[in-house]
Amino acid sequence: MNFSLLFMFYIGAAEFHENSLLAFDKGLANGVEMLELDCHLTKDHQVVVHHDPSLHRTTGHLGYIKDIEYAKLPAINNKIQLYCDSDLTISCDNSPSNSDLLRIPLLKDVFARYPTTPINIDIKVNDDELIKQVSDLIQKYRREHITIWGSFSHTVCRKLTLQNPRIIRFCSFKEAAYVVFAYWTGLLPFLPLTPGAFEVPIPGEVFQKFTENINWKYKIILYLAERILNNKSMFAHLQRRGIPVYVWILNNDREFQYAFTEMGVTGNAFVPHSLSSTFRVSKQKAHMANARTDAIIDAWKSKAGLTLSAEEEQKLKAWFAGAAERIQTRREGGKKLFVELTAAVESNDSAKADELLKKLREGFRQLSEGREKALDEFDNILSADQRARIVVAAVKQAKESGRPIKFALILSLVVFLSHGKLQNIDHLKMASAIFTTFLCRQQRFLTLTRSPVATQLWTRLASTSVQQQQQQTANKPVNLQQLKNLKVDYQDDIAVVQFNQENSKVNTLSKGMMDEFVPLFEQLQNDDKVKGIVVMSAKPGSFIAGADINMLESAKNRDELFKISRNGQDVMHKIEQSRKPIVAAIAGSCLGGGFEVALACHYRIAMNDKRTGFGVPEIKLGLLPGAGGTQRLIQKLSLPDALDLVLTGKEVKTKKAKSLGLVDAVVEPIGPGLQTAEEKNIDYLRSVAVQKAKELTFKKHVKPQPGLLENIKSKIMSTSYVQNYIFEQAKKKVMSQTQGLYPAPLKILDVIKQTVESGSKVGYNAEAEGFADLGTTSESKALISLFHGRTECKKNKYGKPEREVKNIAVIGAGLMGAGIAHVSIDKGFNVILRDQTTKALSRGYSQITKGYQGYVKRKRLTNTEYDRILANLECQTTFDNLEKCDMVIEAVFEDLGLKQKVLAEIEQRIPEHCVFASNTSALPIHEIAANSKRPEKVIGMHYFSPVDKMELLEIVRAKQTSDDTVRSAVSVGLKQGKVVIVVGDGPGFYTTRLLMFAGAEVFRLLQEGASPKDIDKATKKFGFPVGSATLFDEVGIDVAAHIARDMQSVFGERLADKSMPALFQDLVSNNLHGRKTGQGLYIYQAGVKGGDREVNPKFTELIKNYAAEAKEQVTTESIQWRTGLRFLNEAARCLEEKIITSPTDGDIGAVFGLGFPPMKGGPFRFMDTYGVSKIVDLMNSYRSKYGERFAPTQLLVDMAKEDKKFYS
Amino acid sequence: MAFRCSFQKGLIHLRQSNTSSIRLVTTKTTASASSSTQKQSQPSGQQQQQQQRTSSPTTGTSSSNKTKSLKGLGRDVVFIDGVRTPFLTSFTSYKDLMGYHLARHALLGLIKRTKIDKSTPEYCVMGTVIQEVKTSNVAREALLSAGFPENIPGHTVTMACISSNVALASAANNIATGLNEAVIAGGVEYMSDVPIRYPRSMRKLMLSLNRAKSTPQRLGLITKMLSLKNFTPEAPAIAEFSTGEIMGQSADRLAAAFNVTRREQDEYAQRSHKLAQEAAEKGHLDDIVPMHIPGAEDVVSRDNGVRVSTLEQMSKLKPAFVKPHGTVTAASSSFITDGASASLITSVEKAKELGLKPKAYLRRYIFTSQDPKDQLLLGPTYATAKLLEQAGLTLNDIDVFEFHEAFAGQILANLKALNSDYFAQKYLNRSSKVGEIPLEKFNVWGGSLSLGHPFGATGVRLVTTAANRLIKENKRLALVAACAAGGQGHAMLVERYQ
Repeated sequence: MNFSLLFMFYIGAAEFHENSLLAFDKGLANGVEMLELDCHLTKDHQVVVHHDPSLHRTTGHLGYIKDIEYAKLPAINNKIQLYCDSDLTISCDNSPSNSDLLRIPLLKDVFARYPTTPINIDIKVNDDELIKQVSDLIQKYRREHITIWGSFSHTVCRKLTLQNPRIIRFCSFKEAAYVVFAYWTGLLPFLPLTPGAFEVPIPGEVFQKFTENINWKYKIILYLAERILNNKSMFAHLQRRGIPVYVWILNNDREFQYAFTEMGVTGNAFVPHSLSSTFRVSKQKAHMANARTDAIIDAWKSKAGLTLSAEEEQKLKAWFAGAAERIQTRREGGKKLFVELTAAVESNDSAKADELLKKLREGFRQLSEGREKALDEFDNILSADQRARIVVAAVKQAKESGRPIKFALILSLVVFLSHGKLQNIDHLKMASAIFTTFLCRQQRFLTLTRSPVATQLWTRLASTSVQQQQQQTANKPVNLQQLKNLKVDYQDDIAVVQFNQENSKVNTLSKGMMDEFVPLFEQLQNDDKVKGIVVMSAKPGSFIAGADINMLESAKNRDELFKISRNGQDVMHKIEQSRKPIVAAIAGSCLGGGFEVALACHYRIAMNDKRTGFGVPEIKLGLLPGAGGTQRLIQKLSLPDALDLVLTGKEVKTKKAKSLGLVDAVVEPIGPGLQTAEEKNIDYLRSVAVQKAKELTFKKHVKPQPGLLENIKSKIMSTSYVQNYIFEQAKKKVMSQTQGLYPAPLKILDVIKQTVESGSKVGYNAEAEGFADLGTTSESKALISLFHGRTECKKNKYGKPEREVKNIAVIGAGLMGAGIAHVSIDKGFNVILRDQTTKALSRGYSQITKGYQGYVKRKRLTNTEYDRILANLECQTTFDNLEKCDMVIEAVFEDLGLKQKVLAEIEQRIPEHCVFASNTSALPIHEIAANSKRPEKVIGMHYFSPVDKMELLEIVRAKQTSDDTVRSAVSVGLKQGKVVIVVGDGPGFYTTRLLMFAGAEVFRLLQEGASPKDIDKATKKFGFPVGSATLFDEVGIDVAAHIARDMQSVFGERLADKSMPALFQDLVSNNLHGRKTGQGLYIYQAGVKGGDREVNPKFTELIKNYAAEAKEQVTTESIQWRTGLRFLNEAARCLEEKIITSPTDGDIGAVFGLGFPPMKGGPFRFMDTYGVSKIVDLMNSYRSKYGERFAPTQLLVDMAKEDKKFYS
Repeated sequence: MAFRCSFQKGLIHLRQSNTSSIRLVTTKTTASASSSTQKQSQPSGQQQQQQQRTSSPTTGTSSSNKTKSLKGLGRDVVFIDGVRTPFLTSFTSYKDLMGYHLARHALLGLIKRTKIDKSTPEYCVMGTVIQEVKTSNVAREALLSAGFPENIPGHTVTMACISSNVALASAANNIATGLNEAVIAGGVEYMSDVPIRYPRSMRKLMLSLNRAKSTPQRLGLITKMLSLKNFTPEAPAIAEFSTGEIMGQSADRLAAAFNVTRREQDEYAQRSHKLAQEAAEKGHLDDIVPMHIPGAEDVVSRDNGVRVSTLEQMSKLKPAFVKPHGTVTAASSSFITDGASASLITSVEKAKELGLKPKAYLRRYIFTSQDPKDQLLLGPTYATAKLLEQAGLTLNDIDVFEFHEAFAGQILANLKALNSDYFAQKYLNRSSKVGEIPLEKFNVWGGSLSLGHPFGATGVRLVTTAANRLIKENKRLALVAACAAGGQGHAMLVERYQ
């Protein structure tokens, strides 16, 4: 609510008796904008308006109002003294025609007579009944939004807030003292303030009169008190916090000027004790307007460095005066129109309302014409250069003061600069909306959602053009009787809308869903029988899982994406603005668009089960939450929390969401009763939500007051300095984590920053623009393609195995073995972890328990669950119970002989059906199975380290492996939560092969004199999470040496020349094994991280023996391309050789196994985006320089010729 | 002696294979019972006696005759009498005592009531839940402090709210197997004082302080203790260890799962209090042994938790556990109580020898357990269903029901579960529901909601009340059932002795 610039009217107008209807009439006619009155109860419990509790001064009757019944109250005298100045007597004739209006009025009469005039009510006595009656009257006459009440007494003030927290309250004396004290001690910015408005006395004529006769000492004290109370910067601070400042009592020009220009108060109250007829409110207003104009022009001169000639200044002043006058007349006209409109709407006279709306629209048209004309005039006065200076200065000033730049201001400034041509229809709409708000500020109903009339008007106004558009495009009404994706039923006066997407396990915000939801929602809004709405899901485990990705993908261009976002925002806006309470009852995943729906609702109830989670994962698809998500999150959360959610896309569970304040109430799931637990829970959630919705229909939801600490925290957070710091830090973090390769996080930061700085109107627009921008980026497309690929690789494409695997034995309790056990024991498998020594077992066991204890600490698991999961693990050095196993996963050291030995040993003990899987990164599976009795049961399962974190599982199918074995392995892998690709049994399979080909080039570069640091820098810049040189240290140079030797013998020169295996061997024999031995290409020391590590001098020394001639300068680009092209070419070759079956598998393998930059979508997606023929050209050019290892594979050559793509 | 040993062996053997064979026998006999009551597969003297008794017109009960397997295993076990201290809300008149004081009083009261000699009982078992560490075997401490001969051993058992049911069961076992002839079974709970501990980190430091050898070592440990966290005490957890959930929350969820409304719960709670008050006024609750407390003005002779309030008053209460939408309130939950109970269990022969007239036979009993999260308090349903099935009875055969009332919502949920075909098929492994329990036979002298619920002592109160009601109402068969933390349940069949 914005009560800025109010002229308040104390007690009575100059000519008429205080607190009489006649006096009010007169005052309002003179331009007063608000009435101030005191209330009392009569003996028969009627609320009357009167200043004193006694009747003596006004009526001459000795006695108190509370002792007399209303009917018996005497009339007001024709001569009464002013309470604050007994010298003055107001007199007038009590002619019979006035007598009704000169009675002591009833409060309800006042309300009825001035339905739209704001009133300030002062409750002087501590009387519960009076408070309740006044509150009821205010509610009855729907005046909550145009009432301020208050009292000097703090006790009464507290009661007022308790009675009706929605009515703005003046501060009590105690609170005023608290504010002043806090201000002077410097604590004010950090303290919470409950009152909605602040009022202080200001030294004026009346005061001087009061204090004329007092002792000089008191005069000094009084003087000091005045200085302390009236402080401009304190007022400014309060106003910035949305608390208007009113002063009393002003009575002449000098005082007005002092208050408004020097003190900058919001409004005043005055006692027109001066009977001089020259004194008029309107005069003061004009005076003030002039003062303001002067102030604005002064500011431009001083702050924007604007030089104005005297003539120009004169012209400007005239322009402002003209504008003020025009606005005044429009305002008056608008006021009248709206009073009529309100009456028409209230009396359901739709014909009249339509007519008036037409008139209003015509008014807008004239208005924009008039405005353009005015702007043209303005343009004529100032040159473009001068205007630009003004804009820059305004924005700068707003930033410095930490005040949001008023969107209206910016818009008008933009208009100034663009010569008043508003091309964009949205801008025009927004401009008219802003103007409407501005125009109706007096009546205030449009800014206030609480008034039902206002909402109706607002929606009608705002949606007129949108509706027209919609009607043109989609002209088929949805049949609400045959909803496909929604279910509606009614419980008493609450409508329960259940999302129930047809033919789908989860709900998404698909087009079909929205097409049904919007008209249904409108209908419910207009249905008088419906008092509140509950939205929930009919599907267990999914509230709404997000927007429909297919819908996003099918958007053809930026405009369509923009429209999708705008539509989303509009729908959410409608939900939020609904005058009927909407409760979201959430069970299951509530992500992305679903979360945005929930945020727009008025109250959120969430089920505290494992499946319920909240989050905006759009960033994972390179997008941003485009249906108001960024906006509502920063409203609901502190900035760091909001950024955390939006920038990571992480999912928070119900408990956490509650503590963050995203959820208002939590429902614990209940067990099975007379139905299944699932049905029962939906019912239960529903009944709780319906109960809450009913409650909300008569009691508005009041957020629990934050504590002092919270308040201080939020105050600190809201200072622009802290906010800027937060943004800087967030940006730094984003840059360091993404190398600036992902546009989405940066865009999100930008959108949020704009919102915080310039308010949500700008924010919503920025969000939609950002969404459209991001949706068209190749990064987003790549990420979406990966999302699809991942989903595909999480499905079982190979079918069910004949026998379900239940018991697994893992042989070898090393890092990998323990990791494999780790991901198996919580998935319903019984796991035997076997190693030769108890020491090795203990290490493995500790690794697993440490991992699970981490989950307990992060509350992902309870202690009992932890105990139960660990009960599925058996550690042993023997081969006991192997005869019960359905699968054995061997994870011993990478040595062919050893693996064969283990296989032989195990095969004696396992049953016929048991699958033997070898976890190896490069050893050929058919060789491991060479001596097997059941080679068809042998398969490779290449896990990646650390197993519990890396999502990929590469299943290696040898020639002799049976289909059923593959099915067993795939189903186990999927159950372990892995993304599974099945690859052929070629040397290095798929991932290791790519790694070695790129790695061979890395070593070649090193041989040519590049430093490992250069390599790391270049590859990280390309988007690899770990630099390619460091990667070898991580994998282990000994392991790599092994593989390099084997692969070199197969691929020969195409991989690398003979120096590479020799170099590797040399490194290994010098104990440079990589990270595990503390030295490899780098030196590893505790406490030294990432980029600070030093290159191992031993390595620099060793590599000198293998130096190769550099054919050209090694640059970041050449490193990226040389390693990259080898990688890409080999990926294509794997596809050609049918090592992988599809480009999707290839992309998933490279991204999830090798860390290929996800925003490039994987090697195949990258080649598609970049252009296969360009890749081939590049390869050919490198080939001419570096030889055959850069020869593009035939597949690429063919594709380039035919201009084909991997993904059609 | 040799005979006894072989008898026991046989018994153990029988017990191992009992359930299925018993069930078999039961079904067979229920089928044949209608045609001929005399055609028994295992005729024995006692059973015939029993048959005659049941068919004799003097009993006037409506029970059917298919009760062949009513008899437990081994010898008949009789319940001579049971007594208890008044059950008081914690922190009232008992607040300066210790738990064993209450148990001692119950034992003395039992001796006084049964008029036996203190040397007659051969053994004593007591149940308790929250242990006072100083008297962890409270049974023995109570015996000693009550002046029983030193050669009577005693042990303490715990099984949450059904601890004294376990005490009764083990006493009954000892009689049935012939190990003992007369055993005291009882229970005690004292919640006015519970062991509050230092946190684990502090305990660790304190314990190592004991073992520190040198002063610098000690000082080092002491400086480590100086953290606020170390001085934050830990009260005994009221939450279920395995699920972390407070029982009240579970009860609330259970009520919701069975569509038990707030109104129904309030009405049930009111009923419990009303009936308890009536019973006290009519003098039915004569198992109470008034207790003199040192320094107190007057003797404590009544339970002090019974409070009949209006539904309107009750409806004003806010939910106590699940806020804000829960339905379980303080009024519909059993309150924290101090109290003790004791009973004398003997063989028939011993009773005759001592000239005692037993009140009832303790027949079959059963302990069950189920999901400790969502069905925490459904024990009575599972136990009732299984026990009736084993005994070949239906609910119609039962004349007196005494169920432990943890929460009004829990009782009503159990009643609904027993009366649900869906629940029976899905969870009880039955083709149809167990049936509806008529409320006029159910807890008519009040229950744990109104009388109070000292965890360790309630079981004996239930059995005593059941036996007393059988006599007062001139009926034959009673069913006692109770739920307990950990998702466990208990049920026992009590038959009037005539």
